[in-house]
Amino acid sequence: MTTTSIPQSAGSVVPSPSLITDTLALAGRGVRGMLRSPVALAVTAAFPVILLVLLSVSFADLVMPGAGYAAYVDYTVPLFAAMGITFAAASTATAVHADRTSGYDDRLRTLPISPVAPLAGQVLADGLRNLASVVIVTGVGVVLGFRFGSLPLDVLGYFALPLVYVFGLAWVMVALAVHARSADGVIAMANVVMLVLSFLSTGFVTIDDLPGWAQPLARVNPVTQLVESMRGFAGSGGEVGDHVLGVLAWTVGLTVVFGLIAVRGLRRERRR
Amino acid sequence: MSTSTPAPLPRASALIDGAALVGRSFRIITRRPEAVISAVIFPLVFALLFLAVFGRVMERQGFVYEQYLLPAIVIQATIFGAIGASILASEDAQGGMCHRLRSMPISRTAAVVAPLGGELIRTVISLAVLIAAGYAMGFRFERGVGLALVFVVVALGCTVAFGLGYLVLGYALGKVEPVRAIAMLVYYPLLLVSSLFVPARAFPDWLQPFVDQQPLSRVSDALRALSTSGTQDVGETVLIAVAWLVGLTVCFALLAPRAFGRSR
Repeated sequence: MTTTSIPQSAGSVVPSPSLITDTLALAGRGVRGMLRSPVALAVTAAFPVILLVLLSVSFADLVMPGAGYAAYVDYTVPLFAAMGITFAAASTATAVHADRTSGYDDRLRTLPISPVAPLAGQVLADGLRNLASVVIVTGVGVVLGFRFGSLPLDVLGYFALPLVYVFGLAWVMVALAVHARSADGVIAMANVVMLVLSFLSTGFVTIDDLPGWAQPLARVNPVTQLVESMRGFAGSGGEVGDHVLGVLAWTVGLTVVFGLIAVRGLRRERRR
Repeated sequence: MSTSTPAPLPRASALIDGAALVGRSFRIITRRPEAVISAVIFPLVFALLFLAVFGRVMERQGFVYEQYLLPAIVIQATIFGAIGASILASEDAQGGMCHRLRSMPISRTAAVVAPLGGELIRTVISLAVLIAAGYAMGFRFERGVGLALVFVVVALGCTVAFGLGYLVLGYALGKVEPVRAIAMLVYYPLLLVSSLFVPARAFPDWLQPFVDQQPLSRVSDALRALSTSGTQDVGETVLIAVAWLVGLTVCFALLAPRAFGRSR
């Protein structure tokens, strides 16, 4: 007699997928990968700090004549925190692309794990990296003159909102990585877009100092929304509500649009 | 019994070997989309962004920022080329190409500097694009064609001097990722703590001596003197820059073959 069913002997229990355990395991893999890649660490931690120290020192006296270095740092720290996580998002694209092309994704699909875990693990690992990046930049900023003048709840918002923002951005990166043939080309192009977003914002100068054609762009720019929200949370800006809503709207929009594009790309990949 | 006489060894010619290897480097560059992006689009975007973001602020301080900025963008493009040479060199070291070249009867000099040659071609192209774009934005060579040519020569000299330095880095480390990281770590402080984007007097007092003296500031001062009328002491400014570039070139030209010879 031949049987096609898997023999259920007492010793072999088919493991049941668990969203939490699987996600934590894969997030752990992501974090270990980052810790063992000194270059990625340096880019995440050192790049925004270098820009903060060097760009602030060169432009402080020109943008805010007479106000002093500390005052300009107080103004720009949210921008450099935002730039740090924005550019680090490119490494999400690299990681997704590497997993896709190296066969790692195929291997995960053969395992009895929660289907959501690979993506959730990536999101969790990236979130930790981004939080570390924002904390480091803000820490250096505090040394140089950045100050919180607000309630603990606002400080929480200051650290939480960048993570929400970069979640939406990560979907753009995943969509790019799923559809692109060469990772380097995608990252080079993405870097240009992220550079434009970072500069054409109210990060370095006030909206009135931007040329007329750039002002509408700067107003809707998600980086502006994020930076103004963070300034508000830190107590150096005005109204927070509208800008926070702006960040949330961008995040939802990017997640829906690029999430769909990414999922469609992944499905097509799976059929091959 | 007949012994076949071995074929005479081909003579190494620095020119012919150089042309072949430079051609190889340049072909590698052109087949990478990111190379085109970083050679042309990146400096251009940088120029537009700095102009947009800091143009009004600088105008308030009495600068015509289009005129002030173009030399900085040109220097950026030349250093991008130099960094590209370090990446090509590290790829050659990592992939075994250096081993292969060392075993062949070819000119050693040609083998060592070939990546820089390829990048030099790319830099010429990006200079042409950037200067044309600069003219569209309002930049002018106010001192005439002769000094404009000196401008281009000094800019390319910048690629050679720093490119040789970056070659040493590329051959010595022989791994792409750390080379890229260290190249950036050297580049950003020199780029930003300089008179490239803002005048030296905008910096705090204790930083000004460094800002004034460091080579990128010296080169940018020279490029500005060569392109903008009204700057004093053109000859002296250019001489200081050329002295820096020649000095760096000699230093790194001595080190580069050693690094190549010891590369893995």
